[in-house]
Amino acid sequence: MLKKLLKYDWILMWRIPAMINLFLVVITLLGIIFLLSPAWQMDDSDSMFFFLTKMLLTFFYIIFLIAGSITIMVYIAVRYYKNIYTDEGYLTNTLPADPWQIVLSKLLVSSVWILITGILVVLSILSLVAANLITMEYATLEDLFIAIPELFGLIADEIDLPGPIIILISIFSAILGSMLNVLIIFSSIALGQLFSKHRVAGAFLWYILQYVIIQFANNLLLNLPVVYYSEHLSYHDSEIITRALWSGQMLGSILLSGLLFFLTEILLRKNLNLE
Amino acid sequence: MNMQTNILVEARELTKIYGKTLAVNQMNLVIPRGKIIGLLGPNGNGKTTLIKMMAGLLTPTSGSILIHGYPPGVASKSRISYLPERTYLQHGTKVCDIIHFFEDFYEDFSTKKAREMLDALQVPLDARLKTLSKGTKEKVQLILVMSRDADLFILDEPIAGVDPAARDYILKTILSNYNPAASILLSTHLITDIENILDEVIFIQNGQVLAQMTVEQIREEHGQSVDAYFRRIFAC
Repeated sequence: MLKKLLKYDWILMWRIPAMINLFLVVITLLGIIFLLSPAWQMDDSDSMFFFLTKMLLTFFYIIFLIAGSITIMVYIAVRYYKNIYTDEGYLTNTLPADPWQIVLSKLLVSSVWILITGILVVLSILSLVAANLITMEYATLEDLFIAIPELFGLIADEIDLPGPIIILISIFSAILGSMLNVLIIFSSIALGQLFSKHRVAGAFLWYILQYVIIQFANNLLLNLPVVYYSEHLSYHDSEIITRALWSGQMLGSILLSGLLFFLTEILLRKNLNLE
Repeated sequence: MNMQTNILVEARELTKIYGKTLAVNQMNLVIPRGKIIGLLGPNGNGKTTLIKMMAGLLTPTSGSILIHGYPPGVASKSRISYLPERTYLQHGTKVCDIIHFFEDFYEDFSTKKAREMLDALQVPLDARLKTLSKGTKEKVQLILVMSRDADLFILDEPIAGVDPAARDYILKTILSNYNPAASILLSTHLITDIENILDEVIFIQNGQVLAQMTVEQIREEHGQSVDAYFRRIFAC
């Protein structure tokens, strides 16, 4: 059943996130082309027009990146709400599927899109920084290809963990972070249903409240190991502190994700009240 | 067949309260197998609330409702074919995609039956729902629901808001796809149109079952049609 739900959630959802991500790719490519073009390399010290144009293009690029990321989140929220709690919910909630399967399917599909968008945003920024470094003649493409693994090696030395482990932890953290973001949205919508009226506004309020609480709890969990280790260790034991921070963050994210999934599922199972 | 297996739905002291409104009030009800039952009552007396609790779309405030002996859940949902009073299909979806969807999720769905009915209605399979008229969309939804071999068909206001010709089509569809081992619970206030196909009626008033009887009983004991009897007992 989960496989079928995943299939249809993917089919019903892929278009808009794919368009947003395509848009991000296009503006990144345009950015790279522009950065590498002679126009960008022109000296703008005497021309206010060139200076303003560069500033505006940079400004719009940042705005588009932020807007793309936010639009994905909003779209996920709207799709989840519509598919479960509005007219479409009359079909979704009468399918012979367990509520946990319905939530898990939407969680996985949404997380994949958040992850893809996140990766694209990071790659977009890195590409433009690289293009700018090349344009400014601070580095060549070859230099960058050498510098990136070196930088990665430095991080690995600092943390004192093998490179592949760091890659695995980073991938796991990114997946976990995406799922946590989605679960904050899903659980807020589920909690909004506890209101007898204005359930969308209720969901929005829950989102803000949850966001604040989760940030606070996450920071607390992040800082506990630091506080503990700082009493026992010196500044030179930074790799232990970094590892403790990672562990704390991941453990916190896993616990919070589990809690929010459980909350979302139980509210769907025990408190469904379609208007 | 003993009485226990003959019961499809059993509600005990079923209650639903919305805020300060008592929609269903300690209702006791039994729906047997093999009947076409009219769920009748004026608007706002708890028909849709009762149906939504059966379908698992509303959580009862108290009391219990069992379908095949189980509370609403995966098992009951795989045996209930439910037509709500609203369109639950995504407007941008093609008719053929919806058929695949039903085929995938419901083991008892007959694609052949659905295609035959859609052909008869001349609904192109590659048409998107948003291109169809409201009446046709409702018919498509009814076809999907009636193409299942479920134990219980719950049809909430299937003939409301459609023209008389469409009503005839809908009633014909219901009857021609009716499996005598199953039951159909048909909620409506357009009694005259459906009275001829009903075996039993359940009258709902103020969230309670006012009466449950066979159509024959009404005709023989009260000498009235269901519509006339309804008008008499619900006279304002």
